Formats: sequence, C-alpha cells, structure tokens
Amino acid sequence: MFTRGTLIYIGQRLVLILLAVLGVSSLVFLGVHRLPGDALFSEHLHGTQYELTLHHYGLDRPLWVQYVSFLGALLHGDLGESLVNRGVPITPIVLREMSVSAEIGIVALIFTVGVGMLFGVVAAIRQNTWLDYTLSTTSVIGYSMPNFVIATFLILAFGVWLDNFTEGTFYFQIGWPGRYGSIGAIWLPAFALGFPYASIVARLTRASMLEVIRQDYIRTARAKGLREWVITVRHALRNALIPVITILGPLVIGIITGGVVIENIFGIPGLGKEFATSILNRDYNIVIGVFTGYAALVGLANLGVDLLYVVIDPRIRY
Amino acid sequence: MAPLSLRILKGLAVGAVSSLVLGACGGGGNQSSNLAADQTLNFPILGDFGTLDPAVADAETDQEIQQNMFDGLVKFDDNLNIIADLATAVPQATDNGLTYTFNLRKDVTFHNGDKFTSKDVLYSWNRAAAMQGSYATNMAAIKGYDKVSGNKASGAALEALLEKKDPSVWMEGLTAPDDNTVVVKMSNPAGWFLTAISLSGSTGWIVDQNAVKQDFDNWWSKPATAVGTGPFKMTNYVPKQVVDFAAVDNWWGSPKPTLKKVHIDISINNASTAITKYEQGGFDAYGYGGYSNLPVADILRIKGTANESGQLSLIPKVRTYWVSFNLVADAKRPAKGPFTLDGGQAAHDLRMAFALAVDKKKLVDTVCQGVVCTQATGGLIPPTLIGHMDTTDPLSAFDPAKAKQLLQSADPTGAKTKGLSYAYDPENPLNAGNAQFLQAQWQENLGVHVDLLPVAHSPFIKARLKGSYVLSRDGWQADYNHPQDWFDNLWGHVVGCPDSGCTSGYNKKEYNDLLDKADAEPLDQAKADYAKLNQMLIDDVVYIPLYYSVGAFLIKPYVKGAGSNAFFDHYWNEIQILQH
Amino acid sequence: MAATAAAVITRPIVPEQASLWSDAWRRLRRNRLALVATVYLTFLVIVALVALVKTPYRYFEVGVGIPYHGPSVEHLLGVDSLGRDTLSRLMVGAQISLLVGIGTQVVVLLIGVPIGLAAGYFRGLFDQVVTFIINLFYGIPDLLVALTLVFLLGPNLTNIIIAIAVTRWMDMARLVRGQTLSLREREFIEAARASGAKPMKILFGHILPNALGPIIVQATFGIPAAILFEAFLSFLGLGVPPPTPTWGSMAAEGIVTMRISPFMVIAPSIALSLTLMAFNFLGDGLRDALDPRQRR
Repeated sequence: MFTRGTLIYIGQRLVLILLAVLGVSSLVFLGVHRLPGDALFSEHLHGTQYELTLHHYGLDRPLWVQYVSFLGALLHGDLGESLVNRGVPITPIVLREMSVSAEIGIVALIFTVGVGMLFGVVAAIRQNTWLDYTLSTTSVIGYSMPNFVIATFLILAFGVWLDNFTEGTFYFQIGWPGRYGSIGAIWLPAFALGFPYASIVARLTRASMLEVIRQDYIRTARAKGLREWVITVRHALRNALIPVITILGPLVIGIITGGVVIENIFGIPGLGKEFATSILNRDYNIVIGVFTGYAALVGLANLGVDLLYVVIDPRIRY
Repeated sequence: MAPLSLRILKGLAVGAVSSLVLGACGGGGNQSSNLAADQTLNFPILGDFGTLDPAVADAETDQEIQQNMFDGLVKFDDNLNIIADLATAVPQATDNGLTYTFNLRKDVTFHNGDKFTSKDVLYSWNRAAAMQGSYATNMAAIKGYDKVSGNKASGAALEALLEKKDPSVWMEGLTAPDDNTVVVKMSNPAGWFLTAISLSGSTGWIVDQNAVKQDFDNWWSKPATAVGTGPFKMTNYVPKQVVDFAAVDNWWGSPKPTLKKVHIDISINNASTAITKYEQGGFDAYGYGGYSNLPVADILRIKGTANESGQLSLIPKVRTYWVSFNLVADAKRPAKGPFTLDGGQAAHDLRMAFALAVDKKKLVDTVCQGVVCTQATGGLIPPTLIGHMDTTDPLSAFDPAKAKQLLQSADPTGAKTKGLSYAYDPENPLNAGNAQFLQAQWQENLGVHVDLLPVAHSPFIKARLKGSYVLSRDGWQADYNHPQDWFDNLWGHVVGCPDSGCTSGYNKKEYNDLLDKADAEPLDQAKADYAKLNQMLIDDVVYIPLYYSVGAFLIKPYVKGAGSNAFFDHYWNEIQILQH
Repeated sequence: MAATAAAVITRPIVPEQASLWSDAWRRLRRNRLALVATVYLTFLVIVALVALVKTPYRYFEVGVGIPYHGPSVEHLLGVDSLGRDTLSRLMVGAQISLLVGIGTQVVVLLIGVPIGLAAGYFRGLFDQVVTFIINLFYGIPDLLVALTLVFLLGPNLTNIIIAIAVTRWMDMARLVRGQTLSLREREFIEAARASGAKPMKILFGHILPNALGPIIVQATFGIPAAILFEAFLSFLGLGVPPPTPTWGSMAAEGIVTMRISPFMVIAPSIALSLTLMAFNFLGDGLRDALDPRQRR
C-alpha cells in the first residue's frame, strides 16, 4: 500500500509542513511585534522592574535580532515563555494542548463520518418517509445554527435536564479528568464538534446514495436476488463514500476550527481554548505558540487525510 | 511618601465586609464526628494565576492561593485583625515609631524540611524590595529601601548579589541579631507598616532561599521548589489545567488543616459551564480564588431555586466603580477630549452634563438587577470603610433636564461631543452591561452618541493609566481601611499624576497640598481632610459615581468554614468537609 | 471591420443567453423550497429596510421592559438583560447580518473574479503563482486567520467583512479560473479572439457573462458562511461592537442567560437558522436552475 514513492512523498510533505510552520509563526511573530505600544506587560511594572522585564524577554533588542533568536529557538522546539504566567515555558503547554485537540478532533471526525454516513444511508433507503424528513431536519439544524448555541444547548440537555430526569443516575459530567480526559468527558463535546459536519456528510451521502441506488448495477444486483443490506453495504455505500472523501480535507479544518468554540464552552484544555484566551489576554508569546501549533496540526491533519485517500482509493498513488 | 501599595483591580476579585462569616453552618464547635471521609476541596478558577512568588504577585488569584502556602511574620485573621503568624507576637513600634522588633517562632519548618530563621526574613524582604514587584512599596519605609529599589540585576545575577548580601540589594534597616529576632529600622515613622506586611500573599511573606535559588524566576511553578511554611503545599501543577495542594503533615501552626487536599480546576474558563458543574456536584465551591463575579443571570436563577438559594452568599465588597474623565491634555497623555480642566467652566458643565444624564439607580436595577451592586451615593469610599460620606454625593444624582441644559450651554453646536468613546474591559460582564447602559443613557438624555471601546483587561488598565482615554471605566478596591489608600493612589502627585499611573491626570496644587497634609496626620485628624479631598473631586466633577459592588459565592452546605472577608477568602485550614 | 465581424459572430449568443436566464427563472419558480426561501429573504430585506425607519422601540434603549422577561404583548419576543426590546434588536440585526453576508461576497467577487479570470485566461506563470497562493490559503485554517485579522485590525463591521473576504476569496478565484479555462477553448471565444477583440473585452464581455451562473451560485452559498462567521466572532467577543446588535452577538449574549431567559437565545438563533437555510435552499435552487445537468 505504501510504496517507496509514498514514503518519499511523505518526506516531502513533512518538509513542506515544517516550512509552513516556520512561515506562519514568522508572520504572526512580526505581526504581533509591530502592534502599537508595549502590549506585553501587566500594568504594575514601574521603573526598573519594567526594564528588567523587557530585558528578561529580550524585548530590548532590535526587532531583527529578536526575530533571528526566535527562529533559532523555534528550530530547537522552544517557543519561549508566557508573558502572563511569568516564567512558564510555552512549548510543553502547546504540545499538550495540541494532543488534546487532536484527540477530541479525531473522535469528532470518526463520529462525523460514521454517524453522518449512517444517517445519510438510512435517509436514502427510507426516502420520503418520516425518518427521512426527521433526519433532514436535524441535519439542517446542524449546519444552520451557531455551534456555540448547539454546544450550550447540549450541556443544558445532557448535563442538567438529563441529570434531573434520571435523578443523577446518568448525565454528562462537565470536566476533563487527567491529561486526556475520559470517554465520559469526551463524547458530548465530540458530538457537539462533529454535529454540524455530520449533517453535511449525511446530506452528501443521501444524495449520492439516491443516485447510486437508481443505477443499473444495483438493479442487476437486486435482480440477482441479493439481500437488500448486502446491496446497500457492498455496492451502494462504497460508491457513496467517494463524495465524503472529497470533503474530508475541509471537514478536518472545520473540526479543528470548531474546537475553538467547543473547547471554550466545555472547558477542555486544548489548543482552541488557549487560542481564545491568549488572544484576549494579549499573551503574545502564547499567541505565536498557538499559531505555530495550529499550523503543524493542520499540516499533519491534511497529510493524514491525503494518506487516507491512498488507503481508501487504491487508484491514488503519490 | 511613596504609595503604600498599588493593588490594581484585576476585574475579577473577591471581597467582603469584615467580620462576616459565610455560610449558615459557619459556627465553631468541634464536629469531627461528622467529617466526610474524603477531605478534598474542589473548586475552579476561571484563569490561571500569574505567579505564586510573593515578591512579584499582583493579581487577586495569585494572592488567594499563596496565602495558604506561605506565611508572613504577621497576618490578618478572618476579621481583618492583625495577628502573629511567624512572629510570636505582633510587635509594638518603639523609638518613636522608628523600630520594630520581631521575635520569631522556633518551631517552624518549610515544606522541604528547612528550618525557618531570621535569615529567611532578611532574604525574602530584600529580595522583594530588589525585584520591585507591584507591592514592593510595602517595604518603602524601611531604611535603605530607596537604594535597593534602584536595583537593575535580575535572575541569577540578583540571586548572587543577595547571596553575598551585596549592599545594593540589602537594606541596612533590616538586621537579625540572632536566628530568632529581626529588627526593622524605618527611615520615617509609618503606622501602616504592619498592615502592609500583613497583606496576604504579597511582598512581606516569607520564602526559602534554598528553594528559590534553584530557579530564581520560576521556582514557584514546580512542586519540589514551591516551598513555603503554610499549611498547604503544592503537589501538582499543570499550567492552565489544574493545580493540586495537600495538607502539610504535622504542620506547626493552628488550626491544623482538616482538609487533606485542595484541587483547583483551571481548565474551565466559561462561568456558566463552571456553575453548571458546581450544580452537578463537580465543585464544592464557586467564587473562591478571586472569581466572585458570577453572571447576574445565574445568580437570579439560583436565587429562584428552592434547594440552591441557600448556597448563594452575596457580600458587599469594599470596591467602587465610577467613570473617569480625562482632565489633562499634555504631551505624554494621548487623550485630549472636551472635558479637560483647562476648558474652564464649559468643560466643567460638560462633565456635569454627562454625570447628571446617567440614571444610576436604573443602572443598578437593570445591570446588577439590584443584586450584585448597590448605588454609590456616599462618595468614592464604600460603606463600612473610613471615609465613606454621610451625605449624598451630588454627582450620583440623575437630572436629565439639567444635563441637557448644561450640554446646550457648553456645547451648543455639538461639535465638542462628536466622536467620543468610552473605554472598558469586557471580561467582567458587568462592565460590558454598564458600557451599553451608559451609551444608551447619554444617547437618550443628551442626544450624544458615544462609541464603545472594549479593550482586554490588562492592556486596558495600562492604556488608561497612561491617559489614553477620554472616558473610561474606573474603579478601586480597598487594600486596607484607610482613606489614604484611595486618595494617594488615584489622583494627585503621590501616584505620579498627571503623566504616570494616572487615569484622569488630576493634579491640582490644592489637592496635592491637602493630600500631603492629610497623609502626615494621624487618622483621626486626617479624616476631615480626606473628606475635603473627596469634596474637591466632586466640585471639579472628576468622576461619575456608579456603584459599590457585591461579591457572590456558591458554597455547598457541607463545606464548613469556607467564606470570604473584605480582602481575601478564608484560609483553607479553617475549612472542613462534612458528611453529605 | 474587425469589430463588426466579431459582433456578427458573437451575436447569436445573446438570445441564447436570454433564454438561459428565463429558463432558469422558470425552473427556479418550480422549486418550492427555493421559492419559499426567496419569499423569506425578500421579507427579510423588507424588515431590514423597515428597521432603518422604524422599530417598535429604539434598539439601544435600555430598560424599556423588565430585564430577562419573556414575550409579552408589549415585547413580542421578550426583553434582554439590559431591558432592551428583542424584536427591535432582531430587526436591526437583520440589517447587519445581511450587510456582513452580502458585503463579504461583494469583496470576494471583487478579489476572486479578476484573479480567476486572469489566471484562467493567461495561464502560464501567473496562473501557477495564483494556484500556489490559493493552495497556500487552503492550507491554513481560514477562520483562525480571519479571527487574527479582526484581532489585529480591531473589531468593526468593515474589518470583519474584509477579514472574512480575505480568507474566502480562493473558492471564487478557483471557480472562475476553472470556468475560464474551459470557456476560453470554446468556439465563440476563439472567434472573438480571432476577430481581434482585446483580452479585457473577451474576459468581461464574453467569458464572464457565460460563467455568471456558477458565480452566482457560489456567492449565494458564501453568504450564510459569512453570517455564521460573524456569530463565531461575536462569541469570542470580537464581533461588531455594541450597541449595534447582530444576531450572533445576541445569541452569544443569550447563551449565558439561556436558563432563565431562553427567548434571548431562541429568537436570534431561529432568525439566524432560517436565514442560513434560506440562502442554502436558494443556492441549491439556483444551482439546479442554472445548471440543469448538475441536478440531483
């Protein structure tokens, strides 16, 4: 499956990702450092302390010197120190948060594709029944409601109403235990994150299924007396997969972006939450770090998607 | 005199009036038989602390946490009395107020086993003075402070200087005749000195050189070196996610901690989510650690429930909010605007028009729902504190007709009031609500459109203190019960007006002269002069008083001893978890 | 003479185009969902225009009702946390949402169409550069870039529109480029070129009109995406500053009060949802109508 050519391709892509990461972080670095004013410190520093802090962060040097040393440190994987949480190194934070975001993103992606396709297929097979209409309506809500409304509603429904209804037997517990959470902590945010995209997948699957079902070879299969579900799975679904694959790239980016909102609302210590808080806190060193993390995450996710194409569609070769 | 301390509002903070103990079951008594098996206190803070180093800490949350890890020689009890901590007694000033002699306890050890001695006091205080954090001025009256405050070394270099007691970082007023005695010589009498070093989690508190020197700037973030003498020690810290503390075995002080662990969640930064988690039973308390500004909607909802309303405590804070005008336009202050003092009577009338056009009563009823704040009618200083006015502040009145009339005389063409904007920090939901309310009132009652300029808290404060805004959200929380805390730190030459650390730029000579006089007087005499200072600010329409704020805490009924007073949460070692 | 020849050769296209548009209109009218969507959007535009002149209350006026109260006769959609009338704010919000949605697409068209036309028509190095830039933009998460732009430029309506457009122009450029690549090989274009028509004339006079269908469809689908993005910015506190109400900022404010005042979030969310759906249905309908082959 992975030929030598593929491996070379992966190597090239990794180099490109590295370049993209350097490019993005450089842009943000320069963008941030040309912001007006000494946006970098808490308000309480006076006199000598101000100069000491400037010096501590190396901000008393000319911009190009700062940039060169920033690049040098970046190549060693060092993103510097937080400006708000003084002395706290950023790299471990960003790496940890990246992995948390990747984790929840992957769960959401599996959910998106799995549930989306399932619903799409069911809606296609049961076309124009109440089931079809219900699923269509749900999917319309999915892509036409802001995700923060959906997420808040889900917390209300599963965290409060369900808690009251089952008298505390079963409900969604808010929180994020340990470093990587738990199944109990992931399922609802992953659902909230994937829901809008699951709707899109369901719509696509339904449409292409409807097209496929009417094709001759399905009729032939049916005429041969094959069972309905065999036909559905073996013939129809496989073909229905193709449009889904084509939107996988944007889907992944969408899920990564959606994380900004979902992680904030659910209180998940991922890159998305960091992104929003560091921007609002004006912790520019972390802003740079988070962007670097995002560039890497997006690059790797896109590479993953491309490699997935190879797995799913044997005709694709790199 | 240098400003005593510069506690600058963090937008989010605790507060309560002294001598109030929270919680229905706050009474004493030994109920150890009722204790729950799991003595873990679990609560959220909505943002990470900035540092746990007492020398440079400045945010409310920093201090709330530190006060349980470290000790001072003296500290405040829950009723804000100064009591002995690492010292055996609260010393009396001798030598006409110029000398304090502290006798230290002999039974104190740091979490790492190091013995606490007078050397640690000298190290901690000199280090704090040399590092020039926001509370370094707490040391300002010690002889030799002026020289040390000019220190330029930092990090390992500063540590080396401290190690060899270099005169550039070693105040000559601080001496240790033996291991258990510290003698403090002052450069001038300062009755506020004990108050200043009692301030929880700030420069007066004691750190361990052996731990600090391992990583001079960052020792506080690692459990191995985050070492103090307090009842709790750090066991785990994942920045922006969680911090854990455990009770110190056989701790030297009292009361001995009942809690075994304190688990602070830092991962949730959405107030509503955190409150929902509290209601699910995921937290034992909410509002601790400097986050007592619950969303009004949640307070209203919880008040309306049968089972939870009892868990809600609303406590007036020693904090005031007002609107500041830019009063001085000079080269160093970017904001100009139509309100400056050099604009004479017209500018005065304009300020008055803007003040009278706001229905503050309605603001309190709408934005705060009459719950999380009370109207500021008694001047700058909130009730219960010395300096609160008995009479009604004329600036708190609402008179749209007069406002309109003043505006028309001062600005008949409307040219002066074009393009104004009001700056505020939106992190505190009340600030956002207030801004929109003010905007609507000025539009409605004056016909003046004022743009809103939301700026994140930290840059907002910075820009404001540089005189960047014509109209801005302003406020102050008392550091201690003395009017000097207000009039020194907000206006006049002491804080550096007009050009540094000064929102409005207000720096009239009469004000400065009276301020110097009042600061030098004993409190009893000074009161009248501080009242005159407030009157001066009123006569010049320097501020539009809005409200005194109220803090809200949610505490589960089984959490005994938890609560807050005017300046800080109750210490963790007073808290017990009852069976539930 | 050359110009006349070109005119003669190109003339037959005109009636063909006319019939294409009238055919499309006929097909669109037959599509019930698209028709309902058109009616709704027309209604929305009327509401937005009416709001310019009159709303039940002034949208910024505080304390006109009891804060957090639900619908009543005086306030059909309830009152928000500052005692402002939700219906009035929703009406003004319609203006802003439409402005953000349509404004963004106008900027996208202004950037994407010329670039796409030029890249597709001139090909060669320019095309390669454009394609490279497009791919570069696809590689970074658009919303985050837009967010950062708003953050750096400062949140206001214009900057939000620019920020969204800057991250969304690639779709349009790519589409136009593809259309141009295929159209430029068609006989009538070759004929025009042979008759000496200037590239500008060919691009805007011949290629663009024939690519208009897909462009309109694409722009229609871009509108709801922009409206949703404004909501996302509002949630992060980087939306259009107050007192200007947007549906996104109203919903973001509403989620905090959801449990005591559900209408504060329900009203803007439904308005938002209906509008996004309408644009999507209209887009579907337009696509089917303008390109019958793609019909599902």
